[in-house]
Amino acid sequence: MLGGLLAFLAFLAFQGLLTPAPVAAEDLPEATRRMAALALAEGRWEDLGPILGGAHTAAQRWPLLVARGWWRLGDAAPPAAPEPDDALDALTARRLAWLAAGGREPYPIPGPNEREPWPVLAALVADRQEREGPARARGSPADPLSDLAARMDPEAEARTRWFLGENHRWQMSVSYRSLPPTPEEVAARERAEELAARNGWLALAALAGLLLGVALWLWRGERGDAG
Amino acid sequence: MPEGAWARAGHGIAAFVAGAAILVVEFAAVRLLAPAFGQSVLVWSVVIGLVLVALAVGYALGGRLGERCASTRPLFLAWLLAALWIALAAWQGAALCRALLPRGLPTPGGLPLGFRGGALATLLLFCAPAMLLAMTTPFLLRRDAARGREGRATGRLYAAGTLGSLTGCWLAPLVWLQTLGTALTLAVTAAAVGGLGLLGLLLARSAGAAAPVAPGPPVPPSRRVLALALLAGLAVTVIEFAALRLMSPWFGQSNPIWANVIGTLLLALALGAYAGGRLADRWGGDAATGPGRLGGLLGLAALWLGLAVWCAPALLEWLLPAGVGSMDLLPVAFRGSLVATVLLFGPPLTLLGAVPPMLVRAAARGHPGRVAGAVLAWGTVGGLLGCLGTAPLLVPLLGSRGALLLAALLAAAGAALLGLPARRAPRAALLVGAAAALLGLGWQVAARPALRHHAGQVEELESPYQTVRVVRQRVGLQVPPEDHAPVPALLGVGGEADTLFLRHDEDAETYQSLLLADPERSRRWLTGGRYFEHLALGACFAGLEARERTLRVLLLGYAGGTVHRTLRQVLPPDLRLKVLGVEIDPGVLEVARRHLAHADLEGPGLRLVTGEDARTVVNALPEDERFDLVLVDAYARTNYLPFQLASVEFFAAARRHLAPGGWVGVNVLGNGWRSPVARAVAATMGRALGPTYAVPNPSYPGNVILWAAPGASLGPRLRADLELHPALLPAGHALERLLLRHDPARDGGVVLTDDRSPSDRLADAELGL
Repeated sequence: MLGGLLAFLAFLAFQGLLTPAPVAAEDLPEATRRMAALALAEGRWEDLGPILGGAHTAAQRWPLLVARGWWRLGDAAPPAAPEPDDALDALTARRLAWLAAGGREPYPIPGPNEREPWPVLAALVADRQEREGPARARGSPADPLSDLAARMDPEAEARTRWFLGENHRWQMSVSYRSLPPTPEEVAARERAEELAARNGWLALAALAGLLLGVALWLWRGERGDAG
Repeated sequence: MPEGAWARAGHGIAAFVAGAAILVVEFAAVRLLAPAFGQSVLVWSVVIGLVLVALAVGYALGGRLGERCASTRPLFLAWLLAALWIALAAWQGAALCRALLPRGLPTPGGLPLGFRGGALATLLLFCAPAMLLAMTTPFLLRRDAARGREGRATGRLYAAGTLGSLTGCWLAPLVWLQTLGTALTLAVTAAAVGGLGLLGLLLARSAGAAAPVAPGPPVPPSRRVLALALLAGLAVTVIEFAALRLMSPWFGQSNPIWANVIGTLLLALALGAYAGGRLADRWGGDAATGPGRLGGLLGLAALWLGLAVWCAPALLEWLLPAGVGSMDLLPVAFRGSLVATVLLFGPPLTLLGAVPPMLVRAAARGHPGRVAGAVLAWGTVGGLLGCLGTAPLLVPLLGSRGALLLAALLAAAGAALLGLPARRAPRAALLVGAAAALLGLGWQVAARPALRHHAGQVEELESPYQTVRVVRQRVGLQVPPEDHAPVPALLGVGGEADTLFLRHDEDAETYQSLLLADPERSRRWLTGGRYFEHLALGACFAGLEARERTLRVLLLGYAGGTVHRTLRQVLPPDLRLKVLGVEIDPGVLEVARRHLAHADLEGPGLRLVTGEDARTVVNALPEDERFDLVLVDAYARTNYLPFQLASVEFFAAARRHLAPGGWVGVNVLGNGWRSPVARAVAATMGRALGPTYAVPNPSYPGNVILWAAPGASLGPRLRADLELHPALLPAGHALERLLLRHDPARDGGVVLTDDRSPSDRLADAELGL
């Protein structure tokens, strides 16, 4: 009987059912994850500490690690990759290595059998890397998130999508002049054009007047008596 | 016998080319010397002043040589020599300037940094060719002038030379220097002068063709003639400088406006010279300079100028009323400045332009070349006094209106030298003109009325560089929200506050500095979302080597200290701040001390260098001086980043003084990241410093801040342990969420160098001209 139990346990170990499962970000309460996602989207990086205060694992604290080790930098060196840990999922392990290396390589994205636990963060990091990198592949203004949108969790808050979708970086691509002008700006521009046209005609008239005046002066002087 | 028509035409062309070449060399000289010695008013004045002295010597020499030489070959040999000298300046000028670089920061009360080096470089590189070319008009005059017709010959040649100056005045700063660069412009000029000199040599006549010299020794012109020449030259130069300044609160001092105004004035001078020459021959001899003729003309010039000065503000306001936005202003201003210049200053300049040929006609007595040389030389001495005195002294002391009234008095004094006219009308014109000018000058000095009144204007000050105004307005601005409302945190929320703006010249919307009038709001709201906060954000970057916990900042373009104030307000609590600020215009500091609470900023943490060009200061910094932040916020004549502060060589010099982890930040005003100026500066920073990052200001989209740090592998990173000032959050968000790295292949951008920098032309094109 004992032998059978041992064999059963060996079978279970072989199947990986007895190894400790990685503690995923999804194990955080949903409300915590949503608050963290919202803080990321809204740029409240300093709020991540209190929000994720109850998180214990690297996977759960990942946004905080990125906030202090890559998005912003502390005086200390980036956190070193931890010792191999059975509780660490493969994606988090790759990301920790990425962080330890300074974050210069492309941000590790989930593999075929993996799920993105922090889609907003992934979009933000990938977007920033794209903007700061030497060779950018920009999407078109019509599709502001371009391929980043495909990486986002479709269940992300509507507001988050709106905020990222606004994608203020496209303001940089839009000429100040080509922004739709307000009615006041249109009126001011038309008035300036009228003034410029008026001044142009006046300039021609003034120059003609000066030339005419000199010609008249010469004519009168040469017709006058000699000195 | 005088030369035939073809020869006279050739002489006219020679005078034209000489006039153009002299102006091109003058502009190229200023451009060549600027990276080494700066463009402060004093340095610029000494450079142009030395060239004018050389011109005066050349005029006098040319007149004497022309009397002695039978052919024109010596003149065109002089041209060849001038061409060689200009070519040498093109080839080795920059190297000479580098060898003469000043060392060490300026001492209080001492000469400006670039003074000695600039003077020496000018003497060595440009005085000789200027002198040689200036010989042209008086040298050729004797060959053109028949007895009794010296006036029209003088007028023709003088007009041709002035038209050449007009051409050079347009071509050099607006086209050649911007497109070809300084060295190539000088090389092209050398080639043109050399080529025409060779042609002149080939066509030179033998001695028999020259007009015979009058018997007996030449009679030097009387002191009265020379005094009149000096007064006229002085009056003309004072009008040239002061007219531009009088109109600058409406039209500004951009390159097109400058070329427009100076070009129109030169045209008026040329017309006056031509007409004056013909009339001098018609009136004949001493009668030309009698009180009834020249005296009357000078009296009329004084009267017109005296009245024009007081009518000017109303005319200028009508041509360019308040409310025209900065982005729409230049086309209106360009055409308006032409109208104003012609109406206000065209007639007096035309009348003053008639003086030299009339004097030559009166005093020639068979030696027109020598007399013309003396008249031109003394006129140039007058011009030298005007050049040295108007911008640095007369305008700050008397105002531009006062300087113009002084010019009117000079014209009246010239008329008085000739005696009161006998006829009633010219006598009345002279007396009324003199009285109006005198009374007006007295009132101007006593009351110092403002040139232009803006709503909320608190003070107007005319400095050597610009008209500085302090304006108090209640304006909308971006303020941090009281709660952490999410989306508006990126942009702030709308608010209003009384704000003191330090504006300059024609600025209606942009500003050099500002201060929120309420100290508490200033502390909480900083500058309301403007670019100062984006520059000051540099204090919050990680990786700065804050040695002894001190942040060392080099601030180029200190203005009224707004960036400095913002730095102090957002400085991380564990850091002290040390600023070396450079501001070329002392008038700005003077006004800031009175109205922008600058006294709060003064103390041991601030070293201020005023009256110096920022480039000269950077060149002269001690080798071991290091900064954690080098911030460039310098603008000249409203629209232009000074080219010597936006070149590869400048950023390389700044790099030598960067501490490890240090960053260079540049404020670029224009059309956001689309601006060709912004992309050119980014490309230039990339060449000198490495990867360059552009950060827009969504609240005020015209500004872009460019950041670069040698060896940085990531873009700028804020400190993770820092709690940003609430008003700095939008700037922080912009840095983290909107920053774009400049990609030369995709974004383009001309790389700007000291030799070739089309930055002014790019800025003008952006403004619609």
